[in-house]
Amino acid sequence: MVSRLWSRTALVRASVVMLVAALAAAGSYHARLASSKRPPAVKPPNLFVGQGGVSAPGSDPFLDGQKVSLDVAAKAAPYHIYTLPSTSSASGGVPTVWLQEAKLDDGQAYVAVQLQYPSGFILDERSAVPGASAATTASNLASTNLGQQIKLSDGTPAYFIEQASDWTKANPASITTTLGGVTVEVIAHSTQSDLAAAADSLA
Amino acid sequence: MLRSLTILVAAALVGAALGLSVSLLKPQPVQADIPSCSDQYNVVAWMKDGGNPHLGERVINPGMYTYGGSPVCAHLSTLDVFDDAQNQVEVGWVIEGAQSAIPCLQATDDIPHIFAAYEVAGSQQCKPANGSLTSGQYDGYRVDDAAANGCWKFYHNSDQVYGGTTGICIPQQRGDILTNGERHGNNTPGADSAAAIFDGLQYYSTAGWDGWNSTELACDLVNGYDLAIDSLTKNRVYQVSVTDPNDCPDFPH
Repeated sequence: MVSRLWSRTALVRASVVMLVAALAAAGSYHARLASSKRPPAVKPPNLFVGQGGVSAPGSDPFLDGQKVSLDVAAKAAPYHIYTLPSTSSASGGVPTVWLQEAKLDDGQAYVAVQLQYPSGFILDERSAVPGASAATTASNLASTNLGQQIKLSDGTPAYFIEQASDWTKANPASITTTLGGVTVEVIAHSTQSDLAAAADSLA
Repeated sequence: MLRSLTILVAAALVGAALGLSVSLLKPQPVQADIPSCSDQYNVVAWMKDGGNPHLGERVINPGMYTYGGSPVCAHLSTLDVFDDAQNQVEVGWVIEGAQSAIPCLQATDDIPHIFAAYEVAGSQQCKPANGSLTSGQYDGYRVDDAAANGCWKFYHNSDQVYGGTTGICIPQQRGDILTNGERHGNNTPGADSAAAIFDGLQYYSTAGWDGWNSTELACDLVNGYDLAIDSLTKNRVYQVSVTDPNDCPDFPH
């Protein structure tokens, strides 16, 4: 979408050159330029009943997030930030890291982190519900009726949602689990085995 | 004669250039795709509040206005608690229209229906809720995680309309609170309405319910509709006569 709009922008710029040449004597092109509309540079937001899916690579998934380095996010987060091994196929390179820092009503820090990998994999991480285990997270998610409870290779309970399985038929696949006080969503338009392998490799 | 011919040819070239240029400079449709009912356009406001997340939101006394009409696609008005682009909960009403593409709601008619929706890791679910609406009235809506355990319940007036005893439990314990006027389908002025009125906005914290302390535009992607902030606790999505250039500085996409 964005690249297509940029192409359109290029066409408009070309037409502007032609118009300037053609209307130089008339002197009215400034008014025409001022009235032209700039195409939007963003896609429609993923707010409820629209296109299911994930944030476009490189875009802020939060309302008020910051793009930071992994080191900065690690210092801000009161929990360990899980990552994919750089050598794994699910990684594809260095992730773009987005950070949301806020405060809860009781004054405690609230930190959410999203890692967007070049491969298209996303790790969405936030503090788990206090006291929640992987088992309770997986069983609680069953209330959504979106997927099924599974176990990772080491037996850790998790919740799997298959891609293209919700009403939009455009949703990504995901595996959600809780590891040491952090709830991690592994998200990608990929297969269950690929996501399970990525979840197994979290470090 | 040669001079006259040259003038004629030059005039024709200039005319052609003018026609082409003016055509290309006309405001273009926002969506390059062929419009379908699955295309959506939103005017979203939020209580920025330093970006701090909350446990819920509601609109009461008088509440959220119910519009009528016969949209081709869908017209929605909702409250949304937004964690990030992958996780959120939502409650409100929808008129689905004759060609709606929202199969989870299953009501292609011109009647406003209450519904609840949620999204987990980018996967969405929406459900029609019990209860009837009449256009032209205000109703209360609420969605909250009162137990702060990630389990959300959905309300119309004082009735819980979705979530059951436990609620819908998702990884999101809190979120930014939003209002949303939304339409589907064609985004040109004169297409289906995205109008909405939210009067009596409140957020929920561990201290209880309190009025919104700020309101600002989060995203405007709807041609022909814009946000009016009448007070801290009242905002409207209303029809305007101009083609909006679309203002979405912050919203995830």
